[in-house]
Amino acid sequence: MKTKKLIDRIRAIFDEDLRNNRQLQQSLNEVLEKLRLKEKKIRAELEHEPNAGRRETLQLKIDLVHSQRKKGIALLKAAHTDAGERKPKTGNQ
Amino acid sequence: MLRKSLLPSIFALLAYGFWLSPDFKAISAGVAIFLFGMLALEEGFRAFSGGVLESVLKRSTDRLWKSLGFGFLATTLMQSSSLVSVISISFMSAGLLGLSEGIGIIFGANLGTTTGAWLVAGFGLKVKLSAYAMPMLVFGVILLFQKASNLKGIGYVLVGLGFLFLGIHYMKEGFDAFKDSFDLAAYAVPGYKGLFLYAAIGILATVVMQSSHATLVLIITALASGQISYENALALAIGANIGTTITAIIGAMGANAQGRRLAGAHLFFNVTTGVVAIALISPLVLAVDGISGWLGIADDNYTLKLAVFHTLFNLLGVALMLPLIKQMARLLNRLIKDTVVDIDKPQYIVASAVQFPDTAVEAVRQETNRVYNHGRDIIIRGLGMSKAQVFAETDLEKPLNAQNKIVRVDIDDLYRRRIKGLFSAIIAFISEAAFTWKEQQSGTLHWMRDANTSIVEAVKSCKHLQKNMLRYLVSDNYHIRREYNQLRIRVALLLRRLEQIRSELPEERSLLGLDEIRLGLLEWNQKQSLRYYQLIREGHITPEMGSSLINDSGYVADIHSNLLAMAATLFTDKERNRSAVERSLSLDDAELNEILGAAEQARRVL
Repeated sequence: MKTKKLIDRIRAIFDEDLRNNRQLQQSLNEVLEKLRLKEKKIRAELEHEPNAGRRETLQLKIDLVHSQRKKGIALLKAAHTDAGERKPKTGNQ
Repeated sequence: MLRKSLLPSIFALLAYGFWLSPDFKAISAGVAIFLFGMLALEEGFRAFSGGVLESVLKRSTDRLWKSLGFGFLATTLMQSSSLVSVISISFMSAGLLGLSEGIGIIFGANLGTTTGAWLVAGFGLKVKLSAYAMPMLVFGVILLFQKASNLKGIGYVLVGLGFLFLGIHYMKEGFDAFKDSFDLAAYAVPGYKGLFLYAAIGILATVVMQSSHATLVLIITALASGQISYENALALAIGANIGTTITAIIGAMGANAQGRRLAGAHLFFNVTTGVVAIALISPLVLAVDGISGWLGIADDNYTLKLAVFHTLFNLLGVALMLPLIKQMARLLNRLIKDTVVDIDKPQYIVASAVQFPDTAVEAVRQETNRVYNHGRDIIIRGLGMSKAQVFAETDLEKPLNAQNKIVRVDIDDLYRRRIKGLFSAIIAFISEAAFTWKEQQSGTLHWMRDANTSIVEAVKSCKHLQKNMLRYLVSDNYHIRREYNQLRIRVALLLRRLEQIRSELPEERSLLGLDEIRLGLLEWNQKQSLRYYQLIREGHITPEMGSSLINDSGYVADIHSNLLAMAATLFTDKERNRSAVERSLSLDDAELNEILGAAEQARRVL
């Protein structure tokens, strides 16, 4: 284990705020991953949907999940900043 | 079986009685009109509750001497203790008066009724209440048609009093046939036996004539013509005092437990006073002689002496019973129980759970689930649907459109029996627990409390929605019928969707999925408003129908938003961190509208 990582872990044991921040980041990552998979699934459905009305509904669902993800990523960035860490990768946008 | 056959049997018996005797018909009609008057009177007083009447009553009955004075004054003015007791019963049934205050008024009314004896003995005056009935009914009915609730309330009070008087009048008319058979001299018996016998005759005569004043007139006439002895006349007056409680007893038949307790107090007071007066008849006669001599009443002026006796024994009764008011109220509360209504009680929350935060949160969650189940069932029944229809995986439109008869259920009553008790218990439990715990569990309980409030709000919105919906669902106008059906289908689909979410595995549930339903609702709302305007424009529905639809679609939106807020707490994962994160990612109305706006723009570009 690298020294920096070790120091971080020890810090987290004694710092409650940091511990909470880590928990928040973990939960956000889990929820964001679920949302990413959900969006992917609806997009796949949309590709094979011939009905125009149904396509419109699916597109609306994609927009909704996408907005939720955007909100989540913004929160995750803020949590990282709070913890004084590097910005997270946002490639899954 | 017995219950089912009871009503037809009563009807058959009454019909046979009516066929047999026209007098019985008049008496029964009198009782029915009288009871109807009681209901109208209660309705009238209810219109004033929550304001002036309560504060006036409170101020005039907050001390024992005040309630005594109130009863005395009211009876002196109305010259009818029966009427004052009946009005007090209706006050109590409307929740405007407590039992102790009511008993004070009854005691006062018993003193007030003695002024009648003085009037009858001194001037031969008899106030005829029935003469006021007709004008009261006319004025009352005119006031009933007014829009202002105060005027309507006065109308109900006047109509109530009018019917009370009319009822008494019919009862008297019916009993007139029996009146002549009272030959008071025929039962002359010496000693205590005679006293009890004449007291019984006094009771009977007053029950028959529905007025202790009328009995007093009869007694005075018999006494003056030497038909009865002075002692027997006194016993008759005692009997009349007991018999006068019959009006209150009839009045209590239509009242709730509080009203019945007051009638019980009236009977208890008058019977006890009567028994004591009979037991102490000799000292009382001596006292009457002494007081009469002091007042300058001639020895042979038995009519005025009767008035002195009447006042004296009622005073004696009040003096005896005053210190026992609290015990009397306790006894009556024990003897006459409140009608037991089938009310749901909490199953999971127990006092000891407050000590264990996680257990308590789970208990509140379970109890809230029950509140939701009841709320959901009330909404389904309130909108004329059945659980089988809503939760079947079939098309809702067809069976609901085909429905041509809708049974109205009393949402208020269902709320009171199924939800209120649970809701109150949850609120009480949460308030106690929130003080003792750490922030984390208290936070969950705060959400739970809000979830309960949301369910109650949804049920209230359903109650408002029910009013127009039941009317328009059976309308001849196809368009309005269809639109209202769409409104309830919208509610049914939400309930169906919530049930699906509920049946998912806890870890699969996500409150972010609820945003989808909210987005759908917003889109539907926008489309509906445009549809309603179009229907009005094309003359398919009247503007009044349109405004009802717009209001009622607002209630549907309220049901949605409240049930979704509830689901966000109750149906989501119990894991706190994830719930908190999902809550923070959930979109608000402005963000959802932004999505809809963007979709609309994209549609236009295409």
